[in-house]
Amino acid sequence: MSVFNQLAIHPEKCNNCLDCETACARIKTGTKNPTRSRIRTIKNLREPYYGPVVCLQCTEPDCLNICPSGAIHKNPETGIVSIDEERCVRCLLCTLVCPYSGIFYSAKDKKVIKCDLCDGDPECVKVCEPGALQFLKHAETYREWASKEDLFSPGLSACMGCNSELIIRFSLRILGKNTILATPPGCIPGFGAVGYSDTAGARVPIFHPLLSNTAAMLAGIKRYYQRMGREVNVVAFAGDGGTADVGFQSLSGAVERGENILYICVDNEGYMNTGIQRSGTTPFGAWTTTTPVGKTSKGKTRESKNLPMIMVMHGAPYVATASAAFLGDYGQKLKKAMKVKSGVAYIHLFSPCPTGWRFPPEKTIEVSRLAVETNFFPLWEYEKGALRFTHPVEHPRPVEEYLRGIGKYSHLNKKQVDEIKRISEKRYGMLKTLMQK
Amino acid sequence: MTKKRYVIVGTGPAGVNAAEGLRLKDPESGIFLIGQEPTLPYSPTILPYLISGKIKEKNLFLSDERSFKERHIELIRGKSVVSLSPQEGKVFLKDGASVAYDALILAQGGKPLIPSIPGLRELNPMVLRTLADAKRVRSRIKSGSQAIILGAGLIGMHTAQSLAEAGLSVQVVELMDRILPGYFDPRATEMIRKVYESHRVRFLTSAQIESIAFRKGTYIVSISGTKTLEAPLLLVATGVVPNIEFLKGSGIEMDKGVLVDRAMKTNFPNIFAAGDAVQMEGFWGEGRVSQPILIHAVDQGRMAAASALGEKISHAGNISMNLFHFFGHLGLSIGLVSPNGEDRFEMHRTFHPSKKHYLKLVFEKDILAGVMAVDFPLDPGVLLQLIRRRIPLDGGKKEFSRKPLEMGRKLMCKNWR
Repeated sequence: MSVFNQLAIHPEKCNNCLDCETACARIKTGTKNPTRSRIRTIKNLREPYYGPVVCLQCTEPDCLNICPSGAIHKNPETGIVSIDEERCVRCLLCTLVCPYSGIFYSAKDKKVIKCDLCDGDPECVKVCEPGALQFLKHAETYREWASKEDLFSPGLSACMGCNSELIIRFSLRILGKNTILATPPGCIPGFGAVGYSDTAGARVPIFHPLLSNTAAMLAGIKRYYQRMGREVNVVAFAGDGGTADVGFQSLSGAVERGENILYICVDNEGYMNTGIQRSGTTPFGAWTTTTPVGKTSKGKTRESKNLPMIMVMHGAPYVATASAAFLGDYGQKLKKAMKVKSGVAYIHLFSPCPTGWRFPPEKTIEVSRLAVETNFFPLWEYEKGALRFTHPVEHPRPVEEYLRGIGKYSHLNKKQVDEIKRISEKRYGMLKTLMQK
Repeated sequence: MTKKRYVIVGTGPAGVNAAEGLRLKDPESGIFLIGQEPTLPYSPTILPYLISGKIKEKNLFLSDERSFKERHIELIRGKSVVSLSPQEGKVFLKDGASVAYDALILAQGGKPLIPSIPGLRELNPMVLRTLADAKRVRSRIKSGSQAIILGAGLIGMHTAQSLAEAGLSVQVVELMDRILPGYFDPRATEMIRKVYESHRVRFLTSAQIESIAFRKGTYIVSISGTKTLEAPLLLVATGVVPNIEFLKGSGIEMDKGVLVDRAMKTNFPNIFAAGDAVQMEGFWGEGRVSQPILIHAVDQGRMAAASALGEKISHAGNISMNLFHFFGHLGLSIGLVSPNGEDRFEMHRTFHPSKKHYLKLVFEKDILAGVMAVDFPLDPGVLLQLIRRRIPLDGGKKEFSRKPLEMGRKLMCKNWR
């Protein structure tokens, strides 16, 4: 089944200004008549507003199934549901089966009308000042991804709900076959990524360095290939232990020497495959088996190592944070990182762990998204000496919404929550300060 | 997934939707769609529009040959199924051939009900159920001529409009005391009737027909009392009954139609049914009823397919409904619109004689149970979902009655968008 670009409605941002209706009527009919608009606001409403109502371009449209004259089609390329006016007999049964008020009869036009997403460039989105309407083009990312070869064999045995499998399969599709991978001890080699054949592990050369020497080994491999006159992507998928703690001296040395490697830290905030011990990136207040919760101990007492910021200060030419909840954003960053020639490109991937963090496995992406939307884990990138947010969250949700669903934070008292808030705000404020020219 | 053989009897909307529903989830199995029609599948609902010329014959069909080929749905046309043997797992065709199935979906539809009026059956009267019927009617219509339609149900009313638009004077004869009985109340039917009358359609209600004869190219309809109607064209539109003769002796449980449970299953575990042939539970526990309308056919076809695929489904029961676009006006009827004599229900009416629109809402406590409207601005699909999902009306019935369009949209946004 295909995925398509989509119109998203953010009701919380809508102020019922009616600009979308006017714009739609203008572009479709050349008039200002709101009854001829394909998108319609809910009139006579006091706050809260619910956003306009419009066709959602259903995957299995009821209007299409009911149409007795076969006049409704769904374009297999764009997903847009449209009406063949010559065939339409105006029986209007489509309006009775559409649950979303997306298709209706315009007496003025004497025909059935509905949104056609302006053939992929919706006018209503352009005029929506508060950003309540958004045209999501993620489908393009997924289509590009799906069109490329999967460079891992099937049957990787990660814990249920782990997003690392998604991350490495997605990454390798973008990196391509001309890649050598290093996965130091951690979850990724642990779930069967190491091995080089068509039936096990990866379909690119992959090796298992020590926890302490990943960056050094990759630097040597890169230099050797350069000497042989071959350009290859040399990439590490390391955990937070292999990056921030045990692997740090090796990584730090590589950055200082300006080695041309791509280092991806898949940060699940602890040593999760060896028994959930604390690491340098375990956040303040979090439970682990070595920062237990009991009568006196109430989780980790120190704040986490802000590794991506350390890499910026270290002088790495490209540094970014990323999340599986925003794969399009991550994909763009990965493509940029691949092009870096002047030193270490570093990506810090937020990777919630259902097993070690104690949350239901189906919530992984939701947890990832909440971390971004609460500014607990902002998405940003640093290139050519400049920092910028790639997914700015101006009105963050309260951090409690993120903490609430995660077991490792379930014991937190108000003081600890306030401390987490303070740390998040401090780090966010630091990013903001650094962004000012 | 193991490969199976799915056989569907009937190429109407229920059958086509069942086939598509199966293919969507099962790319491998064989799907055989058998129908007696020699043409590609079409929806009988479209036929009145063929008479008026609103749609051309080439645009009539739901899908083309290629689209069935691409989805590997084998369309077996022009073959009548004459019997079924659940023991052998086969259906038998008129030409003696048999088709074996692992799962069977009965979607053979209905056929026109011909009332037992003296002389009528012998005349082989015109009906409107198949493309051949529609062509027969079309070949007989002459602008400026007259036509008589028996039955003021939806088919009769749609056909009356089509004939009027083709330039005929139409006389509709109805046994009941008003047009569109069941869907609309007297006030609504009066409004609809007036619109029709302004387009040269006349009505005779509470009409007991004594006999019908055909002499010198003219049908003569004698009605109790004094009246006799004459016209060169007579069309019978008194309803549709499930087409179940060929199932007699098969062991399939039937009443008026094929009896199915909430999983669209018959009394045999691998035989399902959908569409006009079916008799199934109503939404308000009114027992197993037959409601031959397109919306149910499509919905049941999809549900039967899901059930045949082994999914656990439970149909909530049919909600009586229709939406009726006539001469630029709109009639809408969903759910319980005239619940009789029960204290359970509360009614709100909005009627603007000047604006010429009418709305009647029926509530069961805090839940919408029925909507009937003529030319009232509403989102029909949203109201149907409010009834089907039994959504409590936010802010109460009063506000909803005042602003059904806005409140409907708001409840939609809050509850299921």
